[in-house]
Amino acid sequence: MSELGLQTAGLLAVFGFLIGILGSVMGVGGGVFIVPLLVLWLKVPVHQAIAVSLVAIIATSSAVASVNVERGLANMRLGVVLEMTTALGSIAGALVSNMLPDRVVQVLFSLVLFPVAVMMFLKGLRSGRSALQGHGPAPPARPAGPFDAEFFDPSSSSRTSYAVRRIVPASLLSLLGGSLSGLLGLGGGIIQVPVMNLMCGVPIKAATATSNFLMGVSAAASVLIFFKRGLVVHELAAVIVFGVLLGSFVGMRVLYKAKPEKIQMGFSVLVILVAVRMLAGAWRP
Amino acid sequence: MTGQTWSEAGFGRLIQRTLQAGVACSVALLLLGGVLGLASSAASGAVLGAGILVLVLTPVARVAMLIYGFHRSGEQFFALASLVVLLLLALAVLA
Repeated sequence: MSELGLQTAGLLAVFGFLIGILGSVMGVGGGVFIVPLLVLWLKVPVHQAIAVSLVAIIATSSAVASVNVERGLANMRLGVVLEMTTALGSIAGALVSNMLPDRVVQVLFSLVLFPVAVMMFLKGLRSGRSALQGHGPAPPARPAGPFDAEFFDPSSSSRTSYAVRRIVPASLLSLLGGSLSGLLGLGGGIIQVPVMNLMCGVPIKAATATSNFLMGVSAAASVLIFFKRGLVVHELAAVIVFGVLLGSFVGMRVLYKAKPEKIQMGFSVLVILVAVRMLAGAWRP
Repeated sequence: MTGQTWSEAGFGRLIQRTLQAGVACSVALLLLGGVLGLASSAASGAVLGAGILVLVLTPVARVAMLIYGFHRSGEQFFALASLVVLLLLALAVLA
Protein backbone atom coordinates (compact mmCIF):
# COMPACT_ATOMS: atom_id res chain seq x y z
CA MET A 1 0.00 0.00 0.00
CA SER A 2 3.09 2.23 0.37
CA GLU A 3 3.20 3.52 -3.24
CA LEU A 4 -0.52 4.15 -3.32
CA GLY A 5 -0.94 6.11 -0.08
CA LEU A 6 -3.66 5.38 2.46
CA GLN A 7 -5.82 8.37 1.55
CA THR A 8 -5.78 7.60 -2.17
CA ALA A 9 -6.43 3.94 -1.43
CA GLY A 10 -9.44 4.90 0.71
CA LEU A 11 -10.88 7.18 -1.98
CA LEU A 12 -10.25 4.54 -4.62
CA ALA A 13 -12.15 1.98 -2.54
CA VAL A 14 -15.08 4.42 -2.24
CA PHE A 15 -15.11 4.97 -6.01
CA GLY A 16 -14.85 1.21 -6.47
CA PHE A 17 -17.89 0.84 -4.21
CA LEU A 18 -19.94 3.27 -6.33
CA ILE A 19 -18.72 1.61 -9.53
CA GLY A 20 -19.69 -1.78 -8.11
CA ILE A 21 -23.24 -0.55 -7.51
CA LEU A 22 -23.52 0.96 -11.00
CA GLY A 23 -21.91 -2.07 -12.58
CA SER A 24 -24.19 -4.63 -11.01
CA VAL A 25 -27.30 -2.50 -11.59
CA MET A 26 -26.56 -1.78 -15.25
CA GLY A 27 -24.96 -5.00 -16.40
CA VAL A 28 -21.60 -3.41 -17.14
CA GLY A 29 -18.73 -4.88 -15.20
CA GLY A 30 -17.70 -1.36 -14.36
CA GLY A 31 -14.88 -1.04 -16.92
CA VAL A 32 -16.68 1.90 -18.45
CA PHE A 33 -15.98 3.76 -15.20
CA ILE A 34 -12.83 2.12 -13.79
CA VAL A 35 -10.58 2.75 -16.80
CA PRO A 36 -11.39 6.52 -16.99
CA LEU A 37 -11.11 6.87 -13.20
CA LEU A 38 -7.60 5.39 -13.13
CA VAL A 39 -6.42 7.14 -16.31
CA LEU A 40 -7.86 10.60 -15.65
CA TRP A 41 -7.47 10.80 -11.86
CA LEU A 42 -4.45 8.67 -10.96
CA LYS A 43 -2.69 9.04 -14.35
CA VAL A 44 -2.28 5.27 -14.55
CA PRO A 45 -1.10 4.11 -18.03
CA VAL A 46 -4.16 2.94 -19.92
CA HIS A 47 -2.97 -0.68 -20.30
CA GLN A 48 -2.50 -1.02 -16.54
CA ALA A 49 -5.92 0.59 -16.02
CA ILE A 50 -7.43 -1.97 -18.41
CA ALA A 51 -5.77 -4.83 -16.50
CA VAL A 52 -7.12 -3.56 -13.15
CA SER A 53 -10.54 -3.08 -14.72
CA LEU A 54 -10.56 -6.67 -15.98
CA VAL A 55 -9.70 -7.99 -12.50
CA ALA A 56 -12.55 -5.92 -11.04
CA ILE A 57 -14.89 -7.25 -13.73
CA ILE A 58 -14.05 -10.81 -12.69
CA ALA A 59 -14.79 -9.93 -9.06
CA THR A 60 -18.16 -8.33 -9.88
CA SER A 61 -19.11 -11.08 -12.29
CA SER A 62 -18.29 -13.86 -9.84
CA ALA A 63 -20.07 -12.21 -6.92
CA VAL A 64 -23.17 -11.19 -8.86
CA ALA A 65 -23.41 -14.37 -10.93
CA SER A 66 -23.25 -16.54 -7.82
CA VAL A 67 -26.56 -15.02 -6.73
CA ASN A 68 -28.15 -14.69 -10.19
CA VAL A 69 -27.49 -18.33 -11.10
CA GLU A 70 -29.32 -19.51 -8.01
CA ARG A 71 -32.24 -17.14 -8.69
CA GLY A 72 -32.46 -18.49 -12.24
CA LEU A 73 -31.90 -14.97 -13.59
CA ALA A 74 -28.63 -15.82 -15.37
CA ASN A 75 -29.14 -18.22 -18.30
CA MET A 76 -26.15 -20.59 -18.00
CA ARG A 77 -26.82 -22.37 -21.30
CA LEU A 78 -27.04 -19.19 -23.33
CA GLY A 79 -24.10 -17.83 -21.32
CA VAL A 80 -21.68 -20.65 -22.00
CA VAL A 81 -22.49 -20.80 -25.72
CA LEU A 82 -21.84 -17.07 -26.08
CA GLU A 83 -18.67 -17.46 -23.97
CA MET A 84 -17.11 -19.49 -26.79
CA THR A 85 -17.02 -16.40 -29.01
CA THR A 86 -16.54 -13.76 -26.28
CA ALA A 87 -13.47 -15.63 -24.95
CA LEU A 88 -12.03 -15.90 -28.47
CA GLY A 89 -12.67 -12.20 -29.14
CA SER A 90 -11.25 -11.31 -25.74
CA ILE A 91 -7.95 -13.11 -26.40
CA ALA A 92 -7.61 -11.45 -29.81
CA GLY A 93 -8.51 -8.07 -28.31
CA ALA A 94 -5.93 -8.38 -25.53
CA LEU A 95 -3.18 -9.32 -27.99
CA VAL A 96 -4.04 -6.34 -30.24
CA SER A 97 -4.36 -3.96 -27.28
CA ASN A 98 -0.86 -4.84 -26.09
CA MET A 99 0.52 -3.88 -29.51
CA LEU A 100 -1.14 -0.42 -29.57
CA PRO A 101 0.23 2.75 -27.92
CA ASP A 102 -1.58 4.12 -24.81
CA ARG A 103 -3.05 7.19 -26.50
CA VAL A 104 -4.55 5.18 -29.37
CA VAL A 105 -6.22 2.81 -26.90
CA GLN A 106 -7.62 5.76 -24.92
CA VAL A 107 -9.11 7.38 -28.03
CA LEU A 108 -10.56 4.03 -29.13
CA PHE A 109 -12.05 3.62 -25.66
CA SER A 110 -13.77 7.03 -25.87
CA LEU A 111 -15.04 6.52 -29.41
CA VAL A 112 -16.55 3.12 -28.65
CA LEU A 113 -18.63 4.61 -25.84
CA PHE A 114 -20.47 7.13 -28.05
CA PRO A 115 -22.47 4.77 -30.29
CA VAL A 116 -23.05 2.54 -27.28
CA ALA A 117 -24.54 5.42 -25.28
CA VAL A 118 -26.77 6.57 -28.14
CA MET A 119 -27.99 3.03 -28.73
CA MET A 120 -28.80 2.50 -25.07
CA PHE A 121 -30.57 5.87 -24.85
CA LEU A 122 -32.84 5.05 -27.81
CA LYS A 123 -33.56 1.64 -26.35
CA GLY A 124 -34.39 3.16 -22.98
CA LEU A 125 -36.85 5.56 -24.63
CA ARG A 126 -38.53 2.74 -26.52
CA SER A 127 -38.86 0.46 -23.51
CA GLY A 128 -40.29 3.39 -21.52
CA ARG A 129 -43.01 3.80 -24.16
CA SER A 130 -43.83 0.12 -24.35
CA ALA A 131 -44.08 0.04 -20.58
CA LEU A 132 -46.67 2.84 -20.74
CA GLN A 133 -48.68 0.88 -23.31
CA GLY A 134 -48.45 -2.09 -21.01
CA HIS A 135 -46.92 -5.44 -21.87
CA GLY A 136 -49.17 -8.21 -20.69
CA PRO A 137 -47.73 -11.60 -19.81
CA ALA A 138 -47.01 -13.35 -23.13
CA PRO A 139 -45.64 -16.83 -22.44
CA PRO A 140 -44.23 -18.40 -25.62
CA ALA A 141 -46.64 -20.95 -27.09
CA ARG A 142 -44.02 -22.76 -29.17
CA PRO A 143 -42.21 -25.84 -27.79
CA ALA A 144 -39.32 -24.93 -25.49
CA GLY A 145 -35.90 -24.66 -27.15
CA PRO A 146 -32.68 -25.68 -25.39
CA PHE A 147 -31.93 -22.08 -24.34
CA ASP A 148 -35.43 -21.09 -23.19
CA ALA A 149 -35.80 -20.24 -19.53
CA GLU A 150 -37.91 -18.47 -16.95
CA PHE A 151 -37.36 -16.45 -13.79
CA PHE A 152 -39.38 -14.78 -11.05
CA ASP A 153 -39.55 -11.00 -11.41
CA PRO A 154 -40.46 -9.31 -8.11
CA SER A 155 -41.03 -5.89 -9.76
CA SER A 156 -44.03 -7.36 -11.59
CA SER A 157 -44.59 -10.18 -9.05
CA SER A 158 -44.81 -12.81 -11.76
CA ARG A 159 -42.81 -15.50 -13.48
CA THR A 160 -41.38 -14.36 -16.80
CA SER A 161 -40.65 -17.09 -19.33
CA TYR A 162 -38.90 -16.41 -22.60
CA ALA A 163 -37.69 -18.08 -25.79
CA VAL A 164 -34.17 -17.40 -27.08
CA ARG A 165 -33.92 -16.57 -30.81
CA ARG A 166 -31.12 -15.97 -33.32
CA ILE A 167 -28.31 -17.64 -31.40
CA VAL A 168 -25.89 -17.76 -34.38
CA PRO A 169 -25.84 -14.02 -35.21
CA ALA A 170 -25.75 -13.31 -31.47
CA SER A 171 -22.64 -15.49 -31.17
CA LEU A 172 -20.96 -13.59 -34.00
CA LEU A 173 -21.73 -10.22 -32.38
CA SER A 174 -20.43 -11.60 -29.08
CA LEU A 175 -17.06 -11.92 -30.77
CA LEU A 176 -17.13 -8.11 -30.91
CA GLY A 177 -18.29 -7.88 -27.28
CA GLY A 178 -15.41 -10.11 -26.20
CA SER A 179 -12.85 -8.17 -28.20
CA LEU A 180 -13.91 -4.94 -26.46
CA SER A 181 -13.19 -6.69 -23.18
CA GLY A 182 -9.62 -7.59 -24.10
CA LEU A 183 -8.91 -4.45 -26.12
CA LEU A 184 -10.34 -1.81 -23.78
CA GLY A 185 -11.09 -3.46 -20.41
CA LEU A 186 -14.85 -3.22 -20.84
CA GLY A 187 -16.83 -6.18 -19.52
CA GLY A 188 -18.58 -6.44 -22.85
CA GLY A 189 -21.98 -5.91 -21.23
CA ILE A 190 -22.40 -2.87 -23.45
CA ILE A 191 -22.60 -5.25 -26.41
CA GLN A 192 -23.92 -8.40 -24.72
CA VAL A 193 -26.93 -6.87 -23.00
CA PRO A 194 -28.38 -5.27 -26.18
CA VAL A 195 -27.51 -8.36 -28.26
CA MET A 196 -29.34 -10.71 -25.90
CA ASN A 197 -32.18 -8.27 -25.27
CA LEU A 198 -32.87 -6.95 -28.79
CA MET A 199 -31.61 -9.81 -30.95
CA CYS A 200 -32.32 -12.91 -28.88
CA GLY A 201 -35.45 -11.61 -27.17
CA VAL A 202 -34.15 -12.18 -23.64
CA PRO A 203 -35.86 -9.88 -21.07
CA ILE A 204 -33.56 -7.07 -19.96
CA LYS A 205 -33.02 -8.40 -16.43
CA ALA A 206 -32.13 -11.90 -17.60
CA ALA A 207 -29.93 -10.39 -20.34
CA THR A 208 -28.18 -8.23 -17.74
CA ALA A 209 -27.66 -11.20 -15.41
CA THR A 210 -26.45 -13.49 -18.21
CA SER A 211 -24.09 -10.79 -19.45
CA ASN A 212 -22.70 -10.47 -15.94
CA PHE A 213 -22.31 -14.26 -15.80
CA LEU A 214 -20.36 -14.55 -19.04
CA MET A 215 -18.19 -11.45 -18.71
CA GLY A 216 -16.17 -13.11 -15.93
CA VAL A 217 -14.87 -15.64 -18.45
CA SER A 218 -14.13 -13.12 -21.21
CA ALA A 219 -12.33 -10.89 -18.70
CA ALA A 220 -10.36 -13.89 -17.36
CA ALA A 221 -9.28 -14.82 -20.90
CA SER A 222 -7.76 -11.39 -21.54
CA VAL A 223 -6.49 -10.68 -18.02
CA LEU A 224 -4.38 -13.85 -18.18
CA ILE A 225 -2.56 -12.20 -21.09
CA PHE A 226 -2.13 -8.89 -19.21
CA PHE A 227 -1.07 -10.79 -16.08
CA LYS A 228 1.76 -12.56 -17.89
CA ARG A 229 3.04 -9.21 -19.14
CA GLY A 230 3.18 -7.83 -15.58
CA LEU A 231 0.48 -5.21 -16.24
CA VAL A 232 -1.67 -6.07 -13.21
CA VAL A 233 -0.67 -3.63 -10.43
CA HIS A 234 -1.44 -5.64 -7.28
CA GLU A 235 -2.16 -2.78 -4.86
CA LEU A 236 -4.45 -0.93 -7.27
CA ALA A 237 -6.30 -4.10 -8.20
CA ALA A 238 -6.73 -5.17 -4.55
CA VAL A 239 -8.21 -1.83 -3.45
CA ILE A 240 -10.56 -1.58 -6.44
CA VAL A 241 -11.66 -5.20 -6.01
CA PHE A 242 -12.65 -4.54 -2.37
CA GLY A 243 -14.70 -1.49 -3.25
CA VAL A 244 -16.30 -3.06 -6.30
CA LEU A 245 -17.23 -6.27 -4.44
CA LEU A 246 -18.96 -4.34 -1.65
CA GLY A 247 -20.76 -2.18 -4.21
CA SER A 248 -21.85 -5.24 -6.17
CA PHE A 249 -23.45 -6.81 -3.11
CA VAL A 250 -25.44 -3.61 -2.52
CA GLY A 251 -26.22 -3.20 -6.23
CA MET A 252 -27.56 -6.73 -6.59
CA ARG A 253 -30.42 -5.88 -4.26
CA VAL A 254 -31.23 -2.79 -6.32
CA LEU A 255 -31.09 -4.73 -9.59
CA TYR A 256 -33.51 -7.35 -8.39
CA LYS A 257 -36.08 -4.74 -7.38
CA ALA A 258 -35.55 -1.99 -9.98
CA LYS A 259 -37.82 -1.45 -12.98
CA PRO A 260 -36.04 -2.51 -16.20
CA GLU A 261 -36.46 0.81 -18.09
CA LYS A 262 -34.73 2.73 -15.31
CA ILE A 263 -31.69 0.50 -15.71
CA GLN A 264 -31.37 1.39 -19.39
CA MET A 265 -31.92 5.15 -19.08
CA GLY A 266 -29.35 5.50 -16.31
CA PHE A 267 -26.91 3.45 -18.36
CA SER A 268 -26.93 5.69 -21.45
CA VAL A 269 -26.56 9.06 -19.71
CA LEU A 270 -23.57 7.90 -17.65
CA VAL A 271 -21.81 6.38 -20.63
CA ILE A 272 -22.06 9.69 -22.58
CA LEU A 273 -20.57 11.64 -19.66
CA VAL A 274 -17.67 9.21 -19.35
CA ALA A 275 -16.99 9.19 -23.10
CA VAL A 276 -16.72 13.00 -23.24
CA ARG A 277 -14.36 13.15 -20.26
CA MET A 278 -12.17 10.37 -21.59
CA LEU A 279 -11.89 11.87 -25.08
CA ALA A 280 -11.05 15.29 -23.63
CA GLY A 281 -8.40 13.58 -21.49
CA ALA A 282 -6.76 11.96 -24.51
CA TRP A 283 -6.17 15.35 -26.21
CA ARG A 284 -4.44 16.87 -23.20
CA PRO A 285 -0.62 16.76 -23.28
CA MET B 1 -31.57 -35.30 -15.97
CA THR B 2 -30.16 -38.42 -14.34
CA GLY B 3 -31.47 -39.47 -10.95
CA GLN B 4 -33.34 -37.42 -8.38
CA THR B 5 -30.30 -36.01 -6.60
CA TRP B 6 -29.11 -33.95 -9.58
CA SER B 7 -31.53 -31.11 -10.36
CA GLU B 8 -31.28 -27.76 -12.11
CA ALA B 9 -31.32 -26.13 -8.67
CA GLY B 10 -28.49 -28.38 -7.50
CA PHE B 11 -26.50 -27.45 -10.59
CA GLY B 12 -27.12 -23.76 -9.86
CA ARG B 13 -25.94 -24.24 -6.28
CA LEU B 14 -22.75 -26.00 -7.44
CA ILE B 15 -21.91 -23.05 -9.71
CA GLN B 16 -22.88 -20.59 -6.97
CA ARG B 17 -20.63 -22.31 -4.42
CA THR B 18 -17.71 -22.49 -6.84
CA LEU B 19 -17.91 -18.75 -7.47
CA GLN B 20 -18.43 -17.91 -3.79
CA ALA B 21 -15.47 -20.07 -2.72
CA GLY B 22 -13.22 -18.40 -5.29
CA VAL B 23 -14.24 -14.90 -4.26
CA ALA B 24 -13.94 -15.74 -0.54
CA CYS B 25 -10.42 -17.21 -0.91
CA SER B 26 -9.35 -14.26 -2.99
CA VAL B 27 -10.75 -11.69 -0.55
CA ALA B 28 -9.07 -13.48 2.37
CA LEU B 29 -5.70 -13.36 0.58
CA LEU B 30 -6.18 -9.71 -0.46
CA LEU B 31 -7.07 -8.77 3.13
CA LEU B 32 -4.01 -10.59 4.43
CA GLY B 33 -1.88 -8.89 1.78
CA GLY B 34 -3.32 -5.51 2.76
CA VAL B 35 -2.57 -6.08 6.45
CA LEU B 36 0.98 -7.21 5.60
CA GLY B 37 1.34 -4.10 3.45
CA LEU B 38 0.30 -1.85 6.32
CA ALA B 39 2.88 -3.66 8.47
CA SER B 40 5.43 -2.96 5.72
CA SER B 41 6.06 -6.69 5.27
CA ALA B 42 7.95 -7.80 2.18
CA ALA B 43 5.48 -10.68 1.71
CA SER B 44 2.61 -8.27 0.99
CA GLY B 45 3.13 -8.11 -2.78
CA ALA B 46 3.31 -11.88 -3.19
CA VAL B 47 0.16 -12.47 -1.09
CA LEU B 48 -1.76 -9.78 -3.03
CA GLY B 49 -0.58 -11.38 -6.26
CA ALA B 50 -1.83 -14.78 -5.07
CA GLY B 51 -5.20 -13.23 -4.15
CA ILE B 52 -5.55 -11.74 -7.62
CA LEU B 53 -4.53 -15.02 -9.26
CA VAL B 54 -7.18 -16.92 -7.26
CA LEU B 55 -9.77 -14.35 -8.40
CA VAL B 56 -8.71 -14.69 -12.04
CA LEU B 57 -8.90 -18.49 -11.80
CA THR B 58 -12.41 -18.41 -10.28
CA PRO B 59 -14.23 -18.16 -13.67
CA VAL B 60 -11.91 -20.92 -14.96
CA ALA B 61 -13.04 -23.19 -12.10
CA ARG B 62 -16.65 -22.23 -12.84
CA VAL B 63 -16.24 -23.35 -16.47
CA ALA B 64 -14.77 -26.67 -15.30
CA MET B 65 -17.82 -27.13 -13.04
CA LEU B 66 -20.12 -26.38 -15.99
CA ILE B 67 -18.49 -29.23 -17.94
CA TYR B 68 -19.17 -31.58 -15.02
CA GLY B 69 -22.71 -30.28 -14.44
CA PHE B 70 -23.86 -30.39 -18.05
CA HIS B 71 -22.28 -33.80 -18.52
CA ARG B 72 -24.11 -35.09 -15.47
CA SER B 73 -27.38 -33.60 -16.73
CA GLY B 74 -26.88 -35.47 -20.00
CA GLU B 75 -26.65 -32.19 -21.93
CA GLN B 76 -23.58 -33.12 -23.94
CA PHE B 77 -23.86 -30.17 -26.33
CA PHE B 78 -23.50 -27.71 -23.47
CA ALA B 79 -20.77 -29.82 -21.84
CA LEU B 80 -18.85 -29.63 -25.11
CA ALA B 81 -19.42 -25.85 -25.36
CA SER B 82 -18.03 -25.50 -21.82
CA LEU B 83 -15.03 -27.63 -22.76
CA VAL B 84 -14.33 -25.36 -25.74
CA VAL B 85 -14.41 -22.35 -23.39
CA LEU B 86 -11.99 -24.07 -21.00
CA LEU B 87 -9.61 -24.82 -23.89
CA LEU B 88 -9.79 -21.15 -24.97
CA LEU B 89 -8.82 -20.10 -21.42
CA ALA B 90 -5.88 -22.51 -21.59
CA LEU B 91 -4.93 -20.92 -24.90
CA ALA B 92 -4.96 -17.48 -23.21
CA VAL B 93 -2.41 -18.74 -20.66
CA LEU B 94 -0.13 -19.84 -23.52
CA ALA B 95 -0.73 -16.74 -25.70
